[in-house]
Amino acid sequence: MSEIYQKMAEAVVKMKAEEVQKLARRVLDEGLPPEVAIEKGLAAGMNEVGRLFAAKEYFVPEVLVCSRAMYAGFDILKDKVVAGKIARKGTVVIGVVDGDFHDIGKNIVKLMLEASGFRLVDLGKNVSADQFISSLNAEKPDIVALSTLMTTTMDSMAEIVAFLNKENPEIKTMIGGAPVNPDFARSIQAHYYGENAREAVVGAHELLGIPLET
Amino acid sequence: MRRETFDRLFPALKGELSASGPMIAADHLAFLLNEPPVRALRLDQVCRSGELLAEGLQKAQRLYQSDFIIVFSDVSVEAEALGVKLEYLPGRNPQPVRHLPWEEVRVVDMASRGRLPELFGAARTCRERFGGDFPIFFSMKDPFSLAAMAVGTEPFLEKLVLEPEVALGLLEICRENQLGLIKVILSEGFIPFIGAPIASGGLIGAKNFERFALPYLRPLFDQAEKAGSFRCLHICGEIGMLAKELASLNLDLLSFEDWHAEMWPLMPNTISMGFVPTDLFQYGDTKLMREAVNRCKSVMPAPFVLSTGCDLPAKAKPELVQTMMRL
Repeated sequence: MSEIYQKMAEAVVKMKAEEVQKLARRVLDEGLPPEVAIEKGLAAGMNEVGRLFAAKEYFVPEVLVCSRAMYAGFDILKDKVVAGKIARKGTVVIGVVDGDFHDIGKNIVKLMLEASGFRLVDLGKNVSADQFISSLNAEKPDIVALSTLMTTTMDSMAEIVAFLNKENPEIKTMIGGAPVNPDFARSIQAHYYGENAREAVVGAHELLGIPLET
Repeated sequence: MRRETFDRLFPALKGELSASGPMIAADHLAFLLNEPPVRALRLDQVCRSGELLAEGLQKAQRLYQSDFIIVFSDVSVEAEALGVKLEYLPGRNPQPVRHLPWEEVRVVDMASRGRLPELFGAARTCRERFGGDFPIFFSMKDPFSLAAMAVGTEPFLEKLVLEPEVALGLLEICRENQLGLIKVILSEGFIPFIGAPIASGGLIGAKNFERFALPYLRPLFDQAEKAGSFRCLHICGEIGMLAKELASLNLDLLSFEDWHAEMWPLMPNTISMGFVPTDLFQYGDTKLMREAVNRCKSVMPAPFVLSTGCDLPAKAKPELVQTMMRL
């Protein structure tokens, strides 16, 4: 039984969307639990993709195509999952801060966090501080993850983190993106800085005290 | 060889070991133009006006005593010239609201389209003000980054893996467009400064860079050299993994934000530029700036150009730019 999940994971890593789709259909045909296929097949595959990305063996083009393969399977399996069967490790509100429309990094972090068991609320790009703040009541996030590619938008990041630390100190903040670094994260009192998507996954587990399965 | 290049690039600095100056885009120029007396100019006005850009560049040069200027508004200028629809919101950098369908990307007369005539106007005004010997760089994108900005970065990057031949076809069109643009930059007597914000090592890796970025950059540099100008490149993000590829371009000037000592022996004729972290200019202080500048001076092979690793943040503190310039 685990062989099919392993094949699914391998197909994600090898960017074979059609193969992932076939395997997902086989899972359903054989009456296997879709939530297990998502966790041990698709998510395990993306976990390996994250490792390859961190090791600089895969880069953004490859990660994007792997994620396309993962979603090809996910779209088939998700509707068949019995509600509540997928363990949720926590909720992450994620977005690219005000003034920035570059969202590749954010999308990859979102994908990796989702694949590792978090519920993701994606606010998109060019998200104002008000939009982040107004999402808090509705979504009750455990983590707010902020991304930017441009130095011009770092002010917005500082503003959102300052608001959360003051008004919602129980919510953890995580930042990432080309112009920011650990010093900047410390200076604005963000709880975590992730250099890449893999580090974001590690950080989300650390922040919520959840052991990371490797 | 490098010394000669340096002297030709920066004729006023003969005998010196370094030049210095920040890389500035329209957002910081708009910020400077609104310094007292307050004129309430908005960024979306400044980035569309050659007159205001020139005024901002002159003010910045006076304030910072830079050894050169770079005519650069924002990263979307050439994508707009190709036909990408931008949105201009008050006080914001222009942002794409509609990328081009792949089949609509064509070879056009870039220099006459979008905001490029305004940028050329700004460059000419600055030359009148500073004189013909003053180095004026004119920013333009590498074909890879332009292709990504034309059709959307994610679809373009996916295509590198899924349908590389289609991506290569688009890159050929973008190369032709940029060959046309660099021809005008050179004929006007400005120094082309090619920026590669998306063809970055960290984003695409060395293999993709070698196949999809390098072959389209090389003819641009060859054309610049043939016209008696310089091979100048700014590359964002990680560059260490691109050492071999960058060395093969025989650059005169490489501007970067990521230092890898081991790559410089491969490029004995290349002047290094940049490396002062941009966030320091907004969030740092004099002490941190001094440390950063001293680090640059201690590692960068002379002659070098002390500069910002990428463009200054919009609200960079002028006093910190001046600190960098004085050290």
